[in-house]
Amino acid sequence: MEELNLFVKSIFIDNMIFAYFLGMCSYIAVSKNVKTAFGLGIAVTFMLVVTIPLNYMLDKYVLQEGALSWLGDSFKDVDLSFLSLIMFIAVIASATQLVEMAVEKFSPSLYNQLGIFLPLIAVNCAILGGALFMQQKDFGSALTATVYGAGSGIGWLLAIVGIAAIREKIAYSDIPKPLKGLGITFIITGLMGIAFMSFLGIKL
Amino acid sequence: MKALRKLLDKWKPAFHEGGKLAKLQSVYEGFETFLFTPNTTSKSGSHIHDNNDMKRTMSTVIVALIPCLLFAMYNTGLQHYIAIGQPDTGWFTMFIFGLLAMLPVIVVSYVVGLGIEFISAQIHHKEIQEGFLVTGILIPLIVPINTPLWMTAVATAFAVIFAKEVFGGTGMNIFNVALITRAFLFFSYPAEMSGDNAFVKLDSAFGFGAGTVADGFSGATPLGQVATNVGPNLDGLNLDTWQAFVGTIPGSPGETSMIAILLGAALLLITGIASWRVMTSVFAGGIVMGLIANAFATPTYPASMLDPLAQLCYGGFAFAAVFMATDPVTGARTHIGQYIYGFLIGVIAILIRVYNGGYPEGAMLAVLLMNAFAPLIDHCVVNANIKRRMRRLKTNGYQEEDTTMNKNSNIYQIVYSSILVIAVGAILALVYMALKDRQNMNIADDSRKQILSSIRVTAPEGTTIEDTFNKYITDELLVDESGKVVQQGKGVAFGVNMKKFVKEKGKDKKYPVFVAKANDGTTKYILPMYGAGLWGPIWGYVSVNEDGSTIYGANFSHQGETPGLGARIAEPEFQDKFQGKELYKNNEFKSVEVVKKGQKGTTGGDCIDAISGATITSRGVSTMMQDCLAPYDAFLKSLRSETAK
Amino acid sequence: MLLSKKNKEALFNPLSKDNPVLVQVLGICSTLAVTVSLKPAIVMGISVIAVLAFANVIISFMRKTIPPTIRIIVQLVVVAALVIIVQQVLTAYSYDVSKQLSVFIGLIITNCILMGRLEAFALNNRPWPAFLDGIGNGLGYAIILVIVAFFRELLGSGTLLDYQVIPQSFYDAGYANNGLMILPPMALIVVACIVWFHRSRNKDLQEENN
Repeated sequence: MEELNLFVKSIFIDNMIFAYFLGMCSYIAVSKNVKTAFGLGIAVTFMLVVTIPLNYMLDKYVLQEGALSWLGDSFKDVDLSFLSLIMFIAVIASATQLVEMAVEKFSPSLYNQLGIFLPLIAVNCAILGGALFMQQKDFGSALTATVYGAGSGIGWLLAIVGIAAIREKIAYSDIPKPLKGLGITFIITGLMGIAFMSFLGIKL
Repeated sequence: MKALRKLLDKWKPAFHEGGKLAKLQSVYEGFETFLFTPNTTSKSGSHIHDNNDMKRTMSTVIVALIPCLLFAMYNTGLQHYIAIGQPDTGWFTMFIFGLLAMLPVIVVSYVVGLGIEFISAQIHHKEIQEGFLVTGILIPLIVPINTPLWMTAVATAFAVIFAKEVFGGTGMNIFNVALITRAFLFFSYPAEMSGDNAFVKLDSAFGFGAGTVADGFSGATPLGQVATNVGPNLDGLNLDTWQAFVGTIPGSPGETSMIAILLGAALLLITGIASWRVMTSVFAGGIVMGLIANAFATPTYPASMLDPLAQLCYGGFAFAAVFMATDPVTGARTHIGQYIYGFLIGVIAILIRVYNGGYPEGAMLAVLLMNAFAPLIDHCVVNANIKRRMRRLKTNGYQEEDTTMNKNSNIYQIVYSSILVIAVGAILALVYMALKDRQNMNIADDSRKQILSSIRVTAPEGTTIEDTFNKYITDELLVDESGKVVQQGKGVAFGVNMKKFVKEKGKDKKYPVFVAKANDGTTKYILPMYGAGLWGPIWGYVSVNEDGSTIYGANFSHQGETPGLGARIAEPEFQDKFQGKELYKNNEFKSVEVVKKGQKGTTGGDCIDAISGATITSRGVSTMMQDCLAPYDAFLKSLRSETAK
Repeated sequence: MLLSKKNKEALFNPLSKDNPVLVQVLGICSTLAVTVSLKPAIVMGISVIAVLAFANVIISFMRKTIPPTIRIIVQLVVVAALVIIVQQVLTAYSYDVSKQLSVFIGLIITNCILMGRLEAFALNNRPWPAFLDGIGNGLGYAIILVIVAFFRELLGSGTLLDYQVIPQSFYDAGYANNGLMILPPMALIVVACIVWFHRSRNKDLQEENN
């Protein structure tokens, strides 16, 4: 039940794009049509679901203060948390690489669908942001952390396909020339941001 | 009429190519088409989307809005005269008052909106579209009557430029322009827009209806009353559903009267201008969500205890359902899409109303939100349709084309990356170990500075922090939850790692306390706290007087809050507000609550204004204080009885 | 040779023609986060210029050894290590400065400008041009930050660099600060206005499709 609550919360209230504005660069650049946006969104969600539990275990059993105590008592006071940022980045980038290789081998059709997006993910700040938030929120178990990752990803997915649909709709609109493309996308995102503020502050 | 037509024909050459006033052609055409049906067909804009004559559509909507407009004027007057203690004034006087009060708003709305449209049309050499005629009358109906005119002007300008013109003008906007105006006002000037006095006009209008506001008058709307309800049920409030239905309650001018709205709805439905699918789905969604809220009703969310049908009469729900959600430009276009679109609007509007403490009304935001997703809904409906037909085609042997990609990998990179990781890890570890002691010293000094700041002390130049710390901090204690001092001595409190401490569970935790002698000569007790902000942890120290309740000073710090927003909790401006606040009311621990400007506290204790724009960080401070100080209850009470002696 | 034509381009293009925020669409997240007021914007701008310039140089030195398929990981790790070492040293020797910057550390590392320029330039160019490219892009980014922060602080708080600029008489007459300006959605709209202005002057940057 609490997992469900967390899931819904991370999609709408802690939305990666509209509450924290993470992952904006690829969000704005890759939202020209719904199909590609959907592909990227799925890829981001997938990577979040894969990397957040990995990073969670890493944090819990290696990085946190006292985490290495399972190696022996003498390691009880070791605090490697200063390495968190680098370790998370390395995990994410490596996971991206591994997943890419695995998907290519075991499911070529899926690989073709995702195409160029898989490597693009490693630089998506939403993924690193997700890992850092996870570390802060201090979840009870890897499962809870995974639920959080899934929710965050779906929230990001919803945001990017939403704006892609809008951009498809305005394809024939009379937008002033200097605003075509990038400019109007910023404005749409800003207005969507205002609309999403309705969720800010909901406590479930 | 004929004379007018002849006059316009005479002027026509002057306004067209080669004529003296050719530059103002669009102005001329604007007036011409307003007065007469044009005998040309239009070539641009929304005329592609809808083949209904736009002028006729707009006119019908305006007629549908007339009941709301008339009642709005009457009600504005009614609420005003009730406020100044003259509830028995004649209805005509009340109507005139309302008319005079609303006239400036209507004028501002049209002047700003149409002005910008004229300018845009000039710049782009296009014809003027009549789209703003409806938006122009919607704005005065949904903006609270007490809003300063200049704010309405700014908001209208913003909405017309950024939600309409940049998208290409009438027929191409994604978001409802009137609602963007309202949302802009709501978020830009929250103090003037919320609270109980935005909805009732208290001063006179053009010298009419002058009077003084009766004492104890509250201009709270029904939803406003519900939102601040603290009891276990809603019995304390006198919510008259019939009144809400007729509309003689405070609220935005056009939104209060269900009867007027329904009349408008009937006209729109009969003429086929508005989609019955959207309207009914919105109401259905609202009722369903209301029922769900009832099923899980709790006093923490007072609005969850409202009757679902009565809910529909309150606030801007009905108005949004009939006049906003049904806007064909910003809503879903496909039939199935319209059901989904409308239903979700209804659900989200009630959801926000009930579960979001920050906004008593959610209809406006719900429509805007669904405006954003309407294209997606349509896209999915259309695609589902296409997929179904593709499947039918496939059974006839039609195949999709195939796309392939290629990649390769090697062993060098595994070796390289391992070396890299080990090298980087080693360098970092070395750096860390070499600098750790200096870093810890700096961190400790920083903590000392924060503790001293909580008793309003800054270390003077030329002395070390540690010396100043030792001078002011006379003792350190560890107390348990029953208030008993378990340990005493230098360093016992300072040595507690608050980050780990708050995570510990168990009944026999030992809570740190610093005993200090402040500059005013009295003893203070400093309590450390640790909690969560928006982006990362926040922590702080609160110093309490000998009476165990009055706050002498507070210091807050954070790790990564937004500069200029959440980061402001570390500034004296915010921290100084806590001085003099009481932790106890009537011998009960209430802590100090940080509340959004314009809202009331919920605990009955002292309150501090939140930082504008930093709701979550501010709330984090509130929660941190409540959670971290509550365990000191017994200890603080014992201090009280000590001073009483 | 020091400032050959190509090097000049690397330094000056990002200021306008090839601006990282307005044209390359990089660094958006931080532009929204740190432009609430001028002071953090300036601090962030300077930090990014420094980090970008030096990261570019380091990667440029390493560029011939990095295996192509894991180059992203390598870049990220090197940059992160650089930033963390700087932060660690500051924490030890200049604690106040490090506290000010701690907020930005995360934002700098994940700033896509870094990744973008490393990929696009440092990997294929010599250290000196890479250094200039870093300075140029950092400067282009900082300029945008300052402009956006200027408007957001002025209209949202009535102050500039924490000094009240809007006279009290305005407030007394009924003027109020615009609360929406200090929130991220308006930052996006301000950037959109800058894009509007920028592309009206540079018509070749205008896009074909919406």
